[in-house]
Amino acid sequence: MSEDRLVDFEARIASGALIEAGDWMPEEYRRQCLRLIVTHANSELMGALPEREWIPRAPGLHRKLSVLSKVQDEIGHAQMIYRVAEDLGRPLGITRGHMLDDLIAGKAKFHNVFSYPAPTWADVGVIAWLVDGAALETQGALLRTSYAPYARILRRICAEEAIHLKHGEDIVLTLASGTRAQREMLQGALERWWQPLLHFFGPPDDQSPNTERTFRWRIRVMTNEQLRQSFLRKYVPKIRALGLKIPDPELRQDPASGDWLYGDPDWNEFWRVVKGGGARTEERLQLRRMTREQQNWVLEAMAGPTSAA
Amino acid sequence: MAQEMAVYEVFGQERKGEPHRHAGSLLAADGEMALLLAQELFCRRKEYVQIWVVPRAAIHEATEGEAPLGPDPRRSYRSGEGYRETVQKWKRFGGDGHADRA
Repeated sequence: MSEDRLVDFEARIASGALIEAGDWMPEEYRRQCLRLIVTHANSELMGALPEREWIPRAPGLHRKLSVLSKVQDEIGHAQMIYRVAEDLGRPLGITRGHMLDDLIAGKAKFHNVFSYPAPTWADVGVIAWLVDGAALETQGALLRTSYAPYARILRRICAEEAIHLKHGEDIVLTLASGTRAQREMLQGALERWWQPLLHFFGPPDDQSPNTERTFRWRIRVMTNEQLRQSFLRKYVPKIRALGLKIPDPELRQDPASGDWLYGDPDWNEFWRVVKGGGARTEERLQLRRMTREQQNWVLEAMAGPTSAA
Repeated sequence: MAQEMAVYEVFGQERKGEPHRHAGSLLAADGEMALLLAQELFCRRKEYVQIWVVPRAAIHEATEGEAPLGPDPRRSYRSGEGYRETVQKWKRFGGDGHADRA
């Protein structure tokens, strides 16, 4: 009886058990995990693009190498996460090819922040410090997900993201202690990224499409708002310590709870962007389409006659 | 196409003398390609001194929950835990049972 299996599954989850790829799981658990994991993989793949644009323009060889290495890491993360997703998707007939097709057709979601331009070098610093900092909040919480193959690969990914954060912190600290023009450039970048950063964690909990089951099954363990608050507690004091002004006149800390209260970050803009209407969404998807077409011969050559074994 | 490639499991040894541990998996057409991709994916920071790649199809997995897998409290005599009373017993002879640690 599948009812019994569901009861047994939920009891296992409640007792802290972790689910492996070959274990029985409700189809809805599989689908929810798959949706979360594919969105993460897509975000790593698309997330490499804004910084990639800066590889030829990075100020100095050392910075060029560190941006290059970060971009390489993000693509590597995408590879590892798509692999986890493939194992989940197999019983549903969903392959990596389908996932990439959906992505380039604009049918799949990826994080809102990767739809925005990175017009200055300070944007590269802010992305690596604060966007990767935000990503570490969500991914750090997901280390406790009930789906074990994802949790395992996240350990490696989080360790690398923590290095990206240091790379970004170093760029930001350099600019913050630089000339007036550099500090203004940094302030400008923060102003561009603040709202997308608040959006990054997703809508307030009462408007989030995540179901109660997502948490009962421990697919996710922290809500959007809990993650956003964890981010604000860590980074608002640091941003202010650098002498930067956060572009939100309503931002203040509730002395009782320690929570940060913030002005409405325009959730319509968030929905517009995640549905594919971001300033750079189409251009970056177009780049993915082009590379998929142009590099397909490599895949075909690799999977050629030698793959018969 | 990528779908025709096989899954390889990657195992890495962090230091000489340590066992290889599972690192993750990847898709490759053959072992040589799997090794090359494993180095690109899992060894960018010199995490390992040695790696293995194994076709997943070559791994035979036991069914979870079937004997002899998992903890078995009835067989305490097979573990050190089953011999905790030696500490008490040594006291009759003036020892604390941990003399080897002193």
